Amino acid sequence: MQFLEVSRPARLAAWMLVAATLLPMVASASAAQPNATEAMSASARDLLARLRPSVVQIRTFYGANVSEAGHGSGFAVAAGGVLLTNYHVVADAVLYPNQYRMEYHTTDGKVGAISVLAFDIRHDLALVHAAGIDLVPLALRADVPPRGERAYSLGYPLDLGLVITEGVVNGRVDDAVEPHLYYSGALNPGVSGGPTVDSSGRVVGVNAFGAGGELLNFLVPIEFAMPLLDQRGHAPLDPHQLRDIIAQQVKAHMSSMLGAIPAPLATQRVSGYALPARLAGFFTCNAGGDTDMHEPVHSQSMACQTHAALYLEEGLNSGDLRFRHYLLSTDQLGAMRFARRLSQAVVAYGNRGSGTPRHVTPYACRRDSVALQTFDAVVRVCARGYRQYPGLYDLNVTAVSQNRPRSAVVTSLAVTGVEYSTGIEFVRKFLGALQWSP
Amino acid sequence: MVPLIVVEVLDAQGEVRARHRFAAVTAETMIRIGRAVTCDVILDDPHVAAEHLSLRRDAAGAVRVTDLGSANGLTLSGKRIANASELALSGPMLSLGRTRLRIRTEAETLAPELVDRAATRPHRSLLVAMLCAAGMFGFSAYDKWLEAPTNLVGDVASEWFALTALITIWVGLWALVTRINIGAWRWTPHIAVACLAMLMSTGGAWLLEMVCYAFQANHARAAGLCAIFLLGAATLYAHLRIASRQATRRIATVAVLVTGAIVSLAGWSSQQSRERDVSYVEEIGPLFPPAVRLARATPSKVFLDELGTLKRAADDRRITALTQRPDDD
Repeated sequence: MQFLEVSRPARLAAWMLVAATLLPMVASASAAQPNATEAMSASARDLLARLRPSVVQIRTFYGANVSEAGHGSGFAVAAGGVLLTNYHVVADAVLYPNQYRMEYHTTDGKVGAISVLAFDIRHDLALVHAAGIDLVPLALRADVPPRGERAYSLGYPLDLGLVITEGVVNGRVDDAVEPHLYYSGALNPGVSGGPTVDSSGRVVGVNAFGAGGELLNFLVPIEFAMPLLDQRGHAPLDPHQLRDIIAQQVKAHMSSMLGAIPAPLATQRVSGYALPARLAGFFTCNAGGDTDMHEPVHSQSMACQTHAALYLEEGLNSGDLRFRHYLLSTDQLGAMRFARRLSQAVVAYGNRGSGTPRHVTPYACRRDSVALQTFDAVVRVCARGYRQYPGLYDLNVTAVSQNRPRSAVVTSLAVTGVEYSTGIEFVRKFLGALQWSP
Repeated sequence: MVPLIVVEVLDAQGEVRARHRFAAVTAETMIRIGRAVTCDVILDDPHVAAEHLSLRRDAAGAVRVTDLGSANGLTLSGKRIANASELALSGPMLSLGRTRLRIRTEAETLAPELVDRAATRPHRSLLVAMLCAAGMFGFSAYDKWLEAPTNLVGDVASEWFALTALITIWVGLWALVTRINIGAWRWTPHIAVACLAMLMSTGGAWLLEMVCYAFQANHARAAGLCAIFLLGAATLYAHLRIASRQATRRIATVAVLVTGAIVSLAGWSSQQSRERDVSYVEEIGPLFPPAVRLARATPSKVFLDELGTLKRAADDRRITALTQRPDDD
């Protein structure tokens, strides 16, 4: 996932990329049919002229610097200077108010301070108040645009000022823990938090992130802004409760994710084992194996993940679930030598969690030989807390089957940002789903 | 038997540096000890008086010591005595100034003659050394074979080369110490000790791991540290026994203290680095074939129910981390 706010080091590289790709595009555009281009651009031009007073740039500064630390976009959603943007645009300033400050810049050159009214990290949205201006709120569209409907995204990419790009909304992606709109249009660094509107200028989504492909970009459906608008009180957030609020939102995200997994867990049979597979639509799974026939131990693997991690702050994403199975077997080696290979594989596949001491604390582990429903396995369960987000845990589970002398399955499960009991309940289901039936 | 007194001057290692024999002593014979040339036993110790003390045999045959007015007095079984007069010696050892003397008479009882095992079985130590070396090389080859590498012969050869180099340096250093200390190299016993230690630290460790696996011992780490300590102390003790003539108890003390210090320091520092590493997860440990397992597996429900204690452990670690490095805000 790539966010679309600008941070300084990224900017130069992005400029060079633009310079390299821009020229051929200009040349081919001049060769295209003039009439169609004009018709399309006419509506974009009108929309830009109409909406530009409502879309601002949001800049973040570190300390007293006049050079920005990064910027994104935002737009008016209610009277009295109430703007909507992405949470990740304002996260630094929300969490580290002593280090960071924020400013808005309007297209007509007005500048002022910004304070955060409410945020929703599950949908990467923040409601902010811009002091000293009262912009015309944009209309919000209630329904989801049908696939293929033309849409226009506005924002402040790099240093280029407010721009509009045209694209197509390709429907709502519901196979995700937090649904979003698939937008086949260009979203560039700096447009994060800007609006994407339909041809009549109503907001359908908030520019959020790219998935790395070409025109593979995603919007936050505007419906998720409604609850935020309802809870605006123009009262600034209590800085002491920020992290509790964030922790609550991550927990809610995980509860809804785990709650959406149907019981009993979906499994797939591989070499006599039934193993948890694509547990719900929002999982993506990949499987593969080795092809070297001279290798004495054959291995195949299956990995599933949700891509649902939420951005909490710089260097800390949380609220994710992923698991992986490795199947090892041999027809050449004896039990003793296979066990050695298996030990090495367990170390190599070792599911070392990521994270820095700034955000998470060391793991505590329990390890034992456990009689699962149909076979024995060595099971290790590790848990760690977060420094600043009380009540959130990362769980890391590894199980190595110990029922066959010359084949074994190594399963690892990682759940991040979960309430302890909720997480352990899922671990219980997950281990219960591991079966051996030859 | 003719009554006699033998005064032996010892060096710091307890070896005899000079021996003075006084035969046919009577109750009136006084043996003077000091720095002056008028003395019967002349010592070059600056902490000894010109005429420091005198010895004589009394009628009962006991040796009596009299201080001749020294400033430092004398030391008997660790106790300093000033102005001793006709004091009967309880044991053979006597110190004056910084010199140790051993006073012997014809009445002493000697330890029985040691049997010279080396003379009766001249190749025993060589045989032991060769057995240990064979065990070490053998296990290293087995261990490589277990890994099922693509080039077994090449891997075993390079492993053996590395082992040989290590043992050569290790034994070479100990032999050098032995040569400096007692004047002989004593290659074979050092080789035997080094190879045995290596065999124990590889093959012994492997066996220990297998036993831990069989009985599902979850405290294998503590047991491992304990085993490393015992092996280290025993190895150091054996090398020191070969390399010096110090008393057994002193060697044992040195071996235990040095190994204890090294092992606890290493254990502590690895513990410290693990406690700070937020991505470190405890190893699953070496696995063996399921047939090796003797203990019954814990029922799944019991294991899962006990995970409540894991939350407490994680919370404790969080509190420790927060205490060690508090947040600024």
